[in-house]
Amino acid sequence: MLFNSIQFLIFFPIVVVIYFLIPKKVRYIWLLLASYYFYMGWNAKYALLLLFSTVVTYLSGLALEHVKNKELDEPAKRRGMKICVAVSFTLNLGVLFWFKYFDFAIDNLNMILSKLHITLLNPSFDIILPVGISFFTFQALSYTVDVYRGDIKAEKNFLKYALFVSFFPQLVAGPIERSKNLLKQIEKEHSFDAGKFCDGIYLMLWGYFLKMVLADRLAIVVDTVYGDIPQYGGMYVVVATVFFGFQIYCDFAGYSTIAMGAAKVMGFELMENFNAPYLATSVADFWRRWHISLSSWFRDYLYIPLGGNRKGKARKYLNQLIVFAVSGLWHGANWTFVIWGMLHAVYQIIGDMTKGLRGKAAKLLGLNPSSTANRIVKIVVTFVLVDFAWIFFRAESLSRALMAIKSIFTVFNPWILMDDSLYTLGIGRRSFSVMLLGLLLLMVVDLFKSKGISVRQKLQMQDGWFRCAAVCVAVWFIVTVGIWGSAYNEASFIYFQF
Amino acid sequence: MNRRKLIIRGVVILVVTCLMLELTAYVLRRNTGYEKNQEFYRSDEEYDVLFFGSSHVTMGVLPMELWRNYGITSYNLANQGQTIPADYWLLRAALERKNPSLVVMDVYTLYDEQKYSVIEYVHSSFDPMPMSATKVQAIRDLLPPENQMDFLMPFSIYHNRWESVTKDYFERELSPQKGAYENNEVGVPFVEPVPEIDMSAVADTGVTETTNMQYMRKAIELCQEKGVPILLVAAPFNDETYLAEWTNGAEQLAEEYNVPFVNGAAQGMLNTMSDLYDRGHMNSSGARKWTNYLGEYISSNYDISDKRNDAAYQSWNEDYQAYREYKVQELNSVDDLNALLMLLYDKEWSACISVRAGCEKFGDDWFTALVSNAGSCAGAGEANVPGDNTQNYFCIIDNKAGQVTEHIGSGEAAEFTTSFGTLGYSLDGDGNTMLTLNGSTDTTMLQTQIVQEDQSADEAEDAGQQGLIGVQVWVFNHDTGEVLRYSMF
Repeated sequence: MLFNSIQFLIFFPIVVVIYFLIPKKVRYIWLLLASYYFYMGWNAKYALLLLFSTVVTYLSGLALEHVKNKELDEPAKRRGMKICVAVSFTLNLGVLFWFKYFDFAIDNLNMILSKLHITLLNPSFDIILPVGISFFTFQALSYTVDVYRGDIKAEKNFLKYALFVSFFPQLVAGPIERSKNLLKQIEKEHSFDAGKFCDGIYLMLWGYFLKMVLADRLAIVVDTVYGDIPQYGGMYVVVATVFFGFQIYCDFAGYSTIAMGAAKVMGFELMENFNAPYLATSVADFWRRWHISLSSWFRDYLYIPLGGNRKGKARKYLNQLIVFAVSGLWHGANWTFVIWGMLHAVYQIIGDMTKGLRGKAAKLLGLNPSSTANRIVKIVVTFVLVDFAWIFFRAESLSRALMAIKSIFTVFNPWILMDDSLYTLGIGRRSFSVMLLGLLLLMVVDLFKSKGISVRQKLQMQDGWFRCAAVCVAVWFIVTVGIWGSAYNEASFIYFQF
Repeated sequence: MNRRKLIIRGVVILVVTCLMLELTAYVLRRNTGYEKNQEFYRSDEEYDVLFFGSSHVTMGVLPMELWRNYGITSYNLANQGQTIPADYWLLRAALERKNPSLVVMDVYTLYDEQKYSVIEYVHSSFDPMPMSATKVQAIRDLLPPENQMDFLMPFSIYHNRWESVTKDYFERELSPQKGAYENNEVGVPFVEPVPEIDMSAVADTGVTETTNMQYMRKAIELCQEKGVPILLVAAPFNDETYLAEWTNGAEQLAEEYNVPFVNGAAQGMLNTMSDLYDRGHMNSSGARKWTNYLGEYISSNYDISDKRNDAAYQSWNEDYQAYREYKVQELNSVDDLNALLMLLYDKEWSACISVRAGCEKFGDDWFTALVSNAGSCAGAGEANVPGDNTQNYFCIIDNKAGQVTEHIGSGEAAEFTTSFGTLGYSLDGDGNTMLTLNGSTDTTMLQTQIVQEDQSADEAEDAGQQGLIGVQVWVFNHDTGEVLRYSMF
């Protein structure tokens, strides 16, 4: 079930109330049951995959612990442990490959074979991607590596471990939690904490605002333009691409924030997944702020094992290309995602290579690197680069992405920013205004965040009844103005056809 | 904050938020269904007759006309696109709260298989119905699962209307028509033959059992179980052959259950030049004819008393006044000569029509049919615009006296006695008809005063200068002599 569904709004309060009513010792079992019920809301059969990944990584943890404690010489121990890790990775990534990348691989193989005039392979599998498989697979694998590295001890209690992999708030779209953080919290018994409870509610409301009021509204405009690029060229594509940058941010950050809030209501602290990413002053900075749980996963479990920046510049650049290409593939089985990822690597490589040159140029021009103006320029340039890359992320295919880019440079129609053309893209003037005001609010909140000011904390300091009123208004606003329910078509209602 | 305090605050937040959303839902809800049917669900009133059916009934049966002429209290629960399965559920919900003396159901969708036509129409029918077990059953039965939530919680579909909120959203009024919808337009008469519709299945093999037929059976059985008489009807419209075939099934069904069936199409009561909005639907002239036909039938065949002089039903007389005001508003809102002439088919008022010599309306069959139709409302003789366009034509339709007077000449002054006073007739220098009422010179300029109110001075001047005024129409309150509407065309 989705967070913005009626089912979840019924499911969540029931889970929370029962969670706090039952004895602390069995609460994790209740959460485990709730998490599997939550996941089975999509497809009950795929809960078996979740279970499979859980069993494999749980056993790999026990096996690693067993090998570690065995009286063997160091190389044999290492070898044994590596085998455990390899088995866990092979099985988990094998399942992920089968469900997510098999068709993509076959398509590419067919393309190569057809060039060699060899008969094509015709796979007859109709594979449906299980929801959240990339998220829970990576979370489970991080546990295997953490046990291997000795960062944590293997979990003996299977049910607790199963809850770590399946914890419903972050099961299908992150944050991808680390065993060091979440497993330890599962071990602990949680008492009801009114402060955390309220804070969790505020987080959830902010998440719903981002998702329902902003992301889903932006999506209408973006889908209209990207659905018909030949008709909507030039400035329409620019506007839609800027909106898509905010759509994906609001959508993803919205989901993560609801997840954090839902977990916090029950006393769990999940890691922050987004930290004002569009205030980043470089692409590298962007990746320290965007989908933090995934980028840190790649840093810890891929970039550093590949050698990171310890083996010279050339190797560092190669590592960056590999990591970002894999990151792109993680997002989806399509070359558009690979190119999106590699573009980010190229940005950073060029940035690194020209760092000295840029510094000299700034000195020559007498620019103050710490001035606000310089910072604003950097933020804008970073946004432009990141947003340009989003074109590949959003377009259905490479050819569509190239068509969109070509259209930006060949179709001249800047007047659409001034006349009422933008109100014909699926949302009207009022809806458009709400969207822009909402984005302004988001940027203000992000600005406060970057200055270390938490709006939530400020709210917590207010009088209780003021906070109650704020919650009432927020719920009312989101439910009324948010995009949900059946699409309302005034025309079909008004049209009096007999 | 302790747990108790938190629970109290939680409850307060829940209650206040729900109230805010309820208020918002009230403002944002789509009003079509509410303004039509909310009175039925809101009041404790009992009705003699309840009508069910599709748009043919919504536009064809006027409860207030039934009250005015027969003293029958009724409510029109039909709706556009409403199928018999929807009728059945509405009937079931209605019989849970009301005890009518008669249920009238139209058979139009008898041969349909689908349980609903257009989802928005189902909203109109069911949104005003208060939540109940029957409503939930109806929604589950009629609609696909993906649409059911929209009916259980209509706010899920209407909340997006915040984008179009205007002053009107805060000024919700109930319709004074007791569920009917009068259509005040005249459809262009159809000269093309009615397209053939393949009803061979019906003609050859008799009744084909359809989903809608099954629900009609359930409706009849429900009424019989509750001891409420049911009358099946087929509203008249312009496809008489089609309707005759269509009604075969209804006749057989009525026979099977021993319930009466009235085939409106077989009565030949409609004039296709004046009584239709389009090929399939009556306008208010046609609706008055069909309603009065039903009134006669019901009064003669059922034990339903005339309540017009019953003190307990005084509120119906008050409601009728509100309905009358609505009709006067409508009379003044139409800007088309044909529509205005069509609205003259109403015993509520009397009218005068003058046509200038040489006007193209002489010999216009459609115009003649509309004037004739208006005259037929008076009940005694008909107005017949002569084909000779060399003379001026003047006609008085006195509905109170039940009399039609026609005057043809070169413009000689004349006087006519009517139920609302003595009308003085003459022509002014431009050849326009001038009227006086009871010799009063105050009313000599009657028309020009109203012209200034109805039309801009420029328009009136243009019309006068160019000598374009061919037809003049006066509508009188025949009790007071007040002019309700004057227009020149």
